Amino acid sequence: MITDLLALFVLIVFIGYGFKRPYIALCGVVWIDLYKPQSTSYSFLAGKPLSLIFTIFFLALLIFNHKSVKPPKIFAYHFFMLFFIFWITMTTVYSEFPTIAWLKHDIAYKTLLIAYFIPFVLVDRRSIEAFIWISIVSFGTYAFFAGVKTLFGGGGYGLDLVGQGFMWSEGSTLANQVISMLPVFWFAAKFSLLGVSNYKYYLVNIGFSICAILTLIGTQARSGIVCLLVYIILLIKQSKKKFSALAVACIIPLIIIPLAPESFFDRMNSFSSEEAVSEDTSALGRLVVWRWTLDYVAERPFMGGGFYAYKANAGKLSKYSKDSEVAITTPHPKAFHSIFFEVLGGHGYVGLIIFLLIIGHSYLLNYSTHSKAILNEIVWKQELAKALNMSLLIYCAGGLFVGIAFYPWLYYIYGLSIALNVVEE
Amino acid sequence: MDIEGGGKLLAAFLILVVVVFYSKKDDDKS
Repeated sequence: MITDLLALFVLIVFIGYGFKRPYIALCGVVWIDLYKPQSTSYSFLAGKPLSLIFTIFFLALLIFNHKSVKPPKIFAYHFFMLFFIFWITMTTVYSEFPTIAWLKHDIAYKTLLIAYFIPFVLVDRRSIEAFIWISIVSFGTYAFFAGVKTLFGGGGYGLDLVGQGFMWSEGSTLANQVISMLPVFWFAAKFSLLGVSNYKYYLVNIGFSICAILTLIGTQARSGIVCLLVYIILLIKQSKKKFSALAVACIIPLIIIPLAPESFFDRMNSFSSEEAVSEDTSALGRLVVWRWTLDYVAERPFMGGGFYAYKANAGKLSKYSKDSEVAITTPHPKAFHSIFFEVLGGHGYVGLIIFLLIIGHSYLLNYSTHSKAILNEIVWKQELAKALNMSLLIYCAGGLFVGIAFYPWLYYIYGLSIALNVVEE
Repeated sequence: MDIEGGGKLLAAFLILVVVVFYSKKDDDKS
């Protein structure tokens, strides 16, 4: 009841301040979509269509405040996003498992549609930073739940550390997401208007960063370790002060080693040698499913099999193991466990090309924004463009091993990249 | 208060701060 009253209070704040400011209303939609208060509630908000209500509210505000809405004049952005929405709809129409595919489509197209409007309303530094902060608070809340539980010994492989029951409850997904937020936490702490206004907001972001690393320990997700390694490499590579960056990087193991239980190191050791990998059905299952996916899309190169196409591999995976590997004999289907194979298997080579173009375009936009901001000496733009690109690379590196292609952050980065590129401040 | 209750309270406080802070910046600009 009390947490529902808190959520209601937050919703009233978004509505009250959002009436004249569409970007605040968008922040409200994003908070509901990421945090899902109606799904974690056991009281009067439980099951209420909050996302639908707030999305309608936001779209209505777009019309009423059309003078403050600025559609970006970048044709590629409109084409990639709208074509991708169209394409996943077409692949769902012709999907192999239409009943469940439409359920996933319902979530995916709404995610893409909301992300599409990001640069329409984030038209200045204030609105961009507000959006960044609301994303930080939404993901940071999960990092806080999981991190503090881990600190008190509540972590473990396969456990639901956020108590949500779906979406971020899966350990690898949660670890990938919160580790990819580390550069954004740092930007908000050091360079955002709110972060520099008061030292406690700097400390909040440092706290979220520590919680993100604790989340990685608690979930024992190996893909999260990949994300963290990529972050450390990028941190050292992009830093002007290599020695300082190396010193910061050395702090991370100092947090992990004393807090991680023995089971964490046992799990990390499972990919220490080729022999260990060949006997690890979790890691090997991914390789086998990827081989199967290439065969599967060879028969459906354009459209793939729609959402949940991996269900077609039930009972077929044993023949995709090599002689030296443990055979995957389960009669149940195995998921793609990779954003790239997820899009390839579900939406064919056409879907994969558009997906890669979205990622590539985001990267190039941020690269260009960063270069221009250096010339114009706009520090916040330099740092945000850099943080977004680091976050993108970390997300994709972890995404090589986790099926999070239609989770929102990737598309939020794209929308933010466009907004940051066109903003004049 | 449990961990999740504390996290939700922190989130609500931060959202209020973010919305008020950046809305005020908007008002100052106009």
